[in-house]
Amino acid sequence: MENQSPDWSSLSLDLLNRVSKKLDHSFDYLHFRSVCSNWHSAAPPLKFPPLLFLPFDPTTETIPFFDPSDGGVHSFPLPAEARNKTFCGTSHGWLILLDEPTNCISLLNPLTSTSVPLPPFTHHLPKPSTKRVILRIDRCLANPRCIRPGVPWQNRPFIQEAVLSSPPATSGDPCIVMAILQNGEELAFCRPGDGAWTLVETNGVYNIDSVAYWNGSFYAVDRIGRIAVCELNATPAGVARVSLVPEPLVPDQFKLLESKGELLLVGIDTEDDDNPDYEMKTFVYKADMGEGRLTWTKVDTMGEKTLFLSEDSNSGFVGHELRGCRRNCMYISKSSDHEEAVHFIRLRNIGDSSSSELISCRWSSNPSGAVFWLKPGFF
Amino acid sequence: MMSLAAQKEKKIVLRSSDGEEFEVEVATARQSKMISNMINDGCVEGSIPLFNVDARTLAKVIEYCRRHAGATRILDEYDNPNEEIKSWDATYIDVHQTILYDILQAADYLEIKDLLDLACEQVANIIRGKHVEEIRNTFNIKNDFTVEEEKEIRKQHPWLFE
Repeated sequence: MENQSPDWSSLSLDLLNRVSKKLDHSFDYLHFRSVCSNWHSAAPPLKFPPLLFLPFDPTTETIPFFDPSDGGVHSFPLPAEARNKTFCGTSHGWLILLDEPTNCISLLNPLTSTSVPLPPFTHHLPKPSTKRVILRIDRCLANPRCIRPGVPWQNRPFIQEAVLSSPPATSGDPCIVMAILQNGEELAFCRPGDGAWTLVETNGVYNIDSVAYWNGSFYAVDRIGRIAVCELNATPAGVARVSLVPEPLVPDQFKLLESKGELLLVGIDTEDDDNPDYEMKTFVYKADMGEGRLTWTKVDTMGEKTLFLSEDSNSGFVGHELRGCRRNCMYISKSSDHEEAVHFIRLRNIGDSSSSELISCRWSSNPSGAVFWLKPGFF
Repeated sequence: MMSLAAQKEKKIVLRSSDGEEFEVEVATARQSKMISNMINDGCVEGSIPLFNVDARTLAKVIEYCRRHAGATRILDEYDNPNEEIKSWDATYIDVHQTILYDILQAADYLEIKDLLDLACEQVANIIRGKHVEEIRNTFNIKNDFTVEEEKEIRKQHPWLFE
């Protein structure tokens, strides 16, 4: 008997749905939904976690990334626009990239290859608040070693992190890009289309750990726990110190995370130890702005939420009921303190304060050291 | 209630959609929840007609049920049954897509949960790591989205179509 080719498109929705449930990796699931209308109907839209982009060699054609929903490492084609550029941060699914030969900065959506140019960092920075920093930037630009990927921490790119107020829009209000410069010692901002970056008078807040955009303002937290709000419309643009963090102990790192109108302050104490069994300490506080005063409330449970943090970058996310993710937990990525090109992802349970190692990755290539969570725009 | 030994000896006849008859042990037939219910309800006199399963597929499904009906004994002997069965399952399900499709439908119709799960996993395995166009080619599926729908999907996931 002649075999008729089966019609896979018209399988029952129940069977198709069973198959789709097996596809834990977000890309596989989204591919499944895009095959035909019947498959599309069988696989409802789901919320997936952000992807952790792992250190990559900017001369190669792919970026490896970790997907918490299937616990696997996959790779993504690196857009041509990103090749040979220095990675300076990520925000709202966009990468902030520096082209070293020209000092040109741009935003790039790695999934759509859309690029938005930003003003270049030249030594003609307007309204310098601190000559020392300008000199240092000049020196840094003059010395190509300073802005080369994979160089020691002290010589990282002078833009260490950047945060967007919103994704760059084609119409409406332009987004604001806030950059942490030079090991957290300065802040500078610009809007796409500006002629130049503007330095922010930091008023003694230095060694900035993390910046977040919340309630129409940028907030910064520094290494010793001072929290500042940036007044960008003031002349000169500067920070006003708002408060000290509520926790008396100072952790290794502070992170500010904005999510759905909430601002979270996370402290991470990791100890200088690659032992996966070590006791990691974390705390979470939630910001409240009552009568113009910023107050902090300790958070003991995140409920159905999951936090994603990286010790190597400012990028972080809070997700709710995400596919394949442990609830009330933090996924924290961390470079090895002792070995180059080794990376861990640790899972910290906020409820019972236990922590475990999820994966460790080893890279033989010449990685740029950039490890960041990226939530693609389509999730 | 029949004793286990009596159940083992008793045979049931299954008739495929194309009229072929298969004599199977009760324990094998009971892997199917649908047939198991029929046995419990006492309606298995003569042969059971299976209108949705042809002889080739039924033979393949019986092969699975027979292996899995005997699985408990292997568990006692080898003390590590899962690996053994898992490796047998992997070889069993590594079939041409036409047969996989038929197994999937038959497992669903006969309510053989583990086989349905295995077949779905195999379909998922084929899909994993493939781009949309590759999946369509593999399963011979036509893109039936309207231009507007396609545009909307492309807007959401432009990288899908590279």
